[in-house]
Amino acid sequence: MRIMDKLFGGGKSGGASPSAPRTPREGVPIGMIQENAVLTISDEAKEKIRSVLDSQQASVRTIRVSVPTRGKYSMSLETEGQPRSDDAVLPYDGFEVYIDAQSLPLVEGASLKWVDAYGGGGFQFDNPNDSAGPGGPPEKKSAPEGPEGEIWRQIQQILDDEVNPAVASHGGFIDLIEYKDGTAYVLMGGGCQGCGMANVTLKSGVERILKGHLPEIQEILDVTDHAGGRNPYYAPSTK
Amino acid sequence: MRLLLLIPTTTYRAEDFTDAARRLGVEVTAASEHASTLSRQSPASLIALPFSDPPAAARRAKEFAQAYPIDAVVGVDDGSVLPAAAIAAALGMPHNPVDAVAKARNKYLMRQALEAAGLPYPPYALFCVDDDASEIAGRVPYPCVLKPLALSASRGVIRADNDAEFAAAFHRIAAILKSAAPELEGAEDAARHVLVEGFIPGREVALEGLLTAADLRVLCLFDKPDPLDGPYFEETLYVTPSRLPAGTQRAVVTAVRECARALGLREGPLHAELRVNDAGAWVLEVNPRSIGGRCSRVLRFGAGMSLEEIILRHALRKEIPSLDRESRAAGVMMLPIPRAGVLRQVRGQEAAAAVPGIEELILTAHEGQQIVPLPEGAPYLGFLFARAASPEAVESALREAHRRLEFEID
Repeated sequence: MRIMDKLFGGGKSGGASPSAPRTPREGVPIGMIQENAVLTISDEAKEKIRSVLDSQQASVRTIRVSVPTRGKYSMSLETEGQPRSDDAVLPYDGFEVYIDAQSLPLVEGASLKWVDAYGGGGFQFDNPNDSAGPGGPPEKKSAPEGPEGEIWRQIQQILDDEVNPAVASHGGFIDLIEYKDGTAYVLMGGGCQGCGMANVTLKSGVERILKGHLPEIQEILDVTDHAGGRNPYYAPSTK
Repeated sequence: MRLLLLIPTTTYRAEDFTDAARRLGVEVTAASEHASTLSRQSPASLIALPFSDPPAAARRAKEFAQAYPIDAVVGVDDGSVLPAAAIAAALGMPHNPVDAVAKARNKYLMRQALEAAGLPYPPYALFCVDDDASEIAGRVPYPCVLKPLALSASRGVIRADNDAEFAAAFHRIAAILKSAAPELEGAEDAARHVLVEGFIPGREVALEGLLTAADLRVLCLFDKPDPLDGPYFEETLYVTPSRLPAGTQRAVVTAVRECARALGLREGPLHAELRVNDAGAWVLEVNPRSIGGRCSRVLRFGAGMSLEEIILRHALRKEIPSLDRESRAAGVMMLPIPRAGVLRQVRGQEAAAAVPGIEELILTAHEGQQIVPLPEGAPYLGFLFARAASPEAVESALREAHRRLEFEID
C-alpha cells in the first residue's frame, strides 16, 4: 500500500514541511509523514488551528482528522495525548495531526483551508479523490422525485452552505438522512457526535436556520448515536 | 414568549431543558459562555454571555432583550445560576436575589448563614491553600472533611481522621485547585480556599424542591443508600420515595425550608443535600438549581411531566398541573469511575438493560475518553435508571444492572 509505505518509511521528511520531523517512538508502530504527501493545510487554516489550540484550557497541541466515509471529514481536538498504535502523525508548525489507518487512504490528496462562510467561517476539506476511488462517494439516500425531493435538495444545500462550514470549526458535520412529511432526520458526526451542546446546536441553530428558509419544515429529529461519539467537542462534566 | 436558557457548555442538562422548552412551545434563546458555531446565523436563538462575570452578563442580556424581549431566564445548572439571577434582577423578573445565590454557592458563606440563623451546623473554619497544613492539622477536630470552595460534584472533597491524613488531603486539594485554575475563571478567590468542617455521621438524603415567593414545595426526597463515609464522596444511588421514618422526613423538610430562608432564596428550583442522624437533620448544601447530571430523568410528575418542564413553567408563570411525583418508586445510579485511565469499552450493556425494573442506561463517557475518579475527577461514566413497585426493588435492580456492566479501562 503506497500510503502505508510512506507511513512506515522511517519518518524521513523533506520538501516544504515547515516543522522538523519527529523520530517515531521506539516500539510504537507509528510513523511520521511529510504533510504535503497526505494533507495540505493552508497558512490561514494553520493559524486558525493554532489559535483554537491556544485557547484550550488543557495543553492540547494535536488535532485528529478522521474520514468515516469518503468525502465526509471530521476534525477534532485530540485530548488523549498519545497517538494510537495505528495512527499516522503529521507534523505542522505548532501542532500535529493524527489520522487513523482506516481514514488515511481517504485523506490522501486532501487540502484543508479556512473559508469565510456565511456570517462566520469554518474549515473546509477539498479532495479531488473524493468523487472516486476506494469507498466511493458518501452513502446517502437519494432525494425522491417531486416536491419532497426538491425540499430535500434545498435542505442539503443549506446544510452544505451555511451549517457545515460553521460546525466544521468544532470538527463536526451534519448530514440529512431523510426528509418526510415536514420532518428532517439528521445525523451529527465528528465533534458534534456526543457533544453536550449538540441538542442546542440542532434545535436553536440548525432548525432555526432551516425553518427560516423553508417554512414547510416542522421539525428536525436527531438520529445520531451520541454514545458512540469518540471526540465530542464539549464533554459534560458539571452539575 | 421568549425564554433565555443559560446553558454552560460542560453541562449534562442541555438536552432535558431544551426538550422541555420545545414541549412548551416557547421561543428559546440559548446562551452559553462560549459562542456557538451558528450564533451569527441565528442571532436571536444562540448568544454568548460571560457567565463568570454576572454583572457583565446582565448588561449584555439587557441589551439583547431590547431587540428580543425576554419573558423568563433560567440557569440550567450550577455554572449558570448566578448570572441567571443577575439577569433576572436586571430585567425585573421574580428570581433569587444575587447575594442569596452567591451565598448558596459558597460553602463557607452557607455555614455562616446557618450559624447566624441558629440552625445546626458542624464546626467549621476556612483556610487558604498557602497556609501551613501541618500547623492547621493540630487545630481541627477529627474526623473532619476538607472541601474546596470552588469545586462541585464532590470534587476535591476528602475526609481526614488524623494529622497525617489532613496534611496529605490539604496538599492534594491545593494541587487539584491549581490544575483546575483555567476552569475557575471568575472564582479566583474561592479557588484559593478550603473549608474544613467536622464530619457528620449518618445517612445522606437529597431533596428536590420548588420555591415560589419563598414558599417551598417539596417535589421529591431521595435516599442515598450507599454509605458516604469517605475518604472520598462519590455519589452513586438515589432512590425515591425515602424509606426514612415520617418524622425524620419532616425534619429534613423543615431543615431545608429554614436554610433556604436563612440564605434568602425565594424563587425556582432547589436541590438540597443533608445528613440525618440521632441529633437531627444537618444541611450540607442547599443549591438554587435542580438535581445534576441526567438524574432528573427519573422524575415524573402528574401525567408524566418532567422536572425541567415544571421549572420552565414556574419561570414563565405558566400553570403547573401537578407537583405530585408519580406513585411508583424510582431511582438512578450515577455510574462510578472504578479507576483512572482511558475508557476502551463498556461490556454487558444489554444484560444490564435486561434487568427487570431497569428503564434506561445512558453512557455519557465515550470510548477513548480519559477518565479520572474522585477526588481529582468529576464526570460520571453514565446513568442507570430504574422504576419498580418499591424502593427496595429499585435499589436491587440498579445494583444488579451495575454488577453486569464491565468497564474496560487502560
